[in-house]
Amino acid sequence: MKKIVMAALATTAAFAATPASAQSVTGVVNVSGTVGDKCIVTNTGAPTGGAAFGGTVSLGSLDDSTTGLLKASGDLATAFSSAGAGQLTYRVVCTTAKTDVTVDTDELVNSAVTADPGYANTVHYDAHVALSMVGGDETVSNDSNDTPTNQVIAKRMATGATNIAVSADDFHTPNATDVMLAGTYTGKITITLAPAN
Amino acid sequence: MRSSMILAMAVAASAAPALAQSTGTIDIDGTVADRCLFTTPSETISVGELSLGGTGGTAGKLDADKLDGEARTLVGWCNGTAATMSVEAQPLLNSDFVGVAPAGFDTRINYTATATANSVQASDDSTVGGAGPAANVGLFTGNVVVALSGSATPTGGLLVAGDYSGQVLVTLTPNTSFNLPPEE
Repeated sequence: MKKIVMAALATTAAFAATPASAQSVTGVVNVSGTVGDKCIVTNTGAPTGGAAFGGTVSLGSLDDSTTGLLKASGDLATAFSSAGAGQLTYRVVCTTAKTDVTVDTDELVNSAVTADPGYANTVHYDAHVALSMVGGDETVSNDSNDTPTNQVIAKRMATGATNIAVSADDFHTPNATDVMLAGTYTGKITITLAPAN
Repeated sequence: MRSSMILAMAVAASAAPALAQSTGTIDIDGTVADRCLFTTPSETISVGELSLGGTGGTAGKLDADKLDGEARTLVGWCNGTAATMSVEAQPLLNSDFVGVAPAGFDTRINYTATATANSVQASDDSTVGGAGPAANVGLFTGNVVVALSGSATPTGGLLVAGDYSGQVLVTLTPNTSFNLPPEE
């Protein structure tokens, strides 16, 4: 008698696979842009020609009618200011921390005539540009006798209503005794603001 | 006469038993963990000049049209049915300027970022720190579209000059439950 021995070998292989810990993954979208250095005029005053801002001041009669000499400087300074805020105040804002300011004053000249000794066809004066700035106000001045004044001020223009105001004083002829020649006198004050870092 | 008869009897008697079959088995098992992956994990939106030009009251302020509507597409997948997606929008900050912006100026741009994957949306507003609420994105493979909207500055002031940068972080989180095979 045959005995058939059968051995059934059952093998179970248990794979205990440890799952990788469930980790969050993060994707990134980078966003960037720039703001350029610039100065922007938001209150222009009443500029003429191609100027971005400015105004016109009519001083009227420059001479003292009894002496023929230039009027008192104080009177001319008052006449200058009487042009009013609409002509003399502006608002410029710059996006940089510093502001580069240049003031160039051109004397009043009657170019139709030549001044003989004892006479004047030129009136010099000082222009003052008052700037409202963050951290304290500043004034940049220029004498029409001098080359332009340039200052890089380490402050920003303030963002209030208007932040630039112009005044003038120290009106004088080359010699105090010069008699004013008749005619029309014209001059100008050129103010330049540029962004600076 | 004698005759003998031989009877040959062949007896065939063998009922051989049928061979008894026996089967052995090997069980195999494995797992796939819940997992998410970004195959395109990074994109960049560069918008150039952020402020409005010209003159007048809005000059120098944020040009919202520069950021609003910008979108980029990341690509990823999640292999579990309970995966979630969340978004964190980090504001654009002026990297050149230190300190508090002076009155009338801003150095920060806020916006809302929305990520869309598998027809599910998650979003976040950069004015509030941290990520927004998670959305159930589930099993998916494909695009994760990130779009920007609602950009604004905190005070509506002029933007200080400089470079501005921010990030949108999109996080895919797989289901955290594990599928362990029974112990043998």
